[in-house]
Amino acid sequence: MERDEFNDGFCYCGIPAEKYVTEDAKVPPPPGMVFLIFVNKEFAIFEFRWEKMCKTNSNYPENYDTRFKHKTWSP
Amino acid sequence: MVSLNEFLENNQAKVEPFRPCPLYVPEGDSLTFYLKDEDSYGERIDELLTIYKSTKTDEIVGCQIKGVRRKLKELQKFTVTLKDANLGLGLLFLTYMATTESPTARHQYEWLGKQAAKVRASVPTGELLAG
Repeated sequence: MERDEFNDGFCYCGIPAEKYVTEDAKVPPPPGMVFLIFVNKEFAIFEFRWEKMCKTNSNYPENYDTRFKHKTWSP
Repeated sequence: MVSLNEFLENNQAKVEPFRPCPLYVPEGDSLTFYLKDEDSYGERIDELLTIYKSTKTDEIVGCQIKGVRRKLKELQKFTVTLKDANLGLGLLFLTYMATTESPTARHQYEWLGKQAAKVRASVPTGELLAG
């Protein structure tokens, strides 16, 4: 991540098959959104949320090219 | 050995009604503040501020600010000392507002500060200064 003191952290990004709206209820993922999970260098999760996807690359969030250094892993 | 299901069964958290209350997350040196209990998505304003908007109405329902400890250290340069047990969120937003160059971020901090004042939101100072 391009962030002071968190340069060694990671962001996992993707579109889950389902979105939980309560503990028991799930719905399809919101259109035009990606789900992000942020971890620090110890891999402790400190934030997770949906964001609008990039208009030119639907695998990533908006402005991903200035927010993150590089892609580390991909299936 | 206890299975995951058994562990979860035995450690169920009591669900309390929603109230607007900031949460400091030391692992990310970030503070999250929800004004409403609504389904939301994040919109990053700049490297320090993300606002949460309602999925249904696009109304702002919360925010996340990053680099809280660092920002408090900046305050110390101006010999501002935190003595109270709790830090009002309004002062924190004011600090961020004073140091941003983004007009959009300034506007958001001002609005968030007013909302925080309405509900008298504060965060324990000890949580912010520990570590």
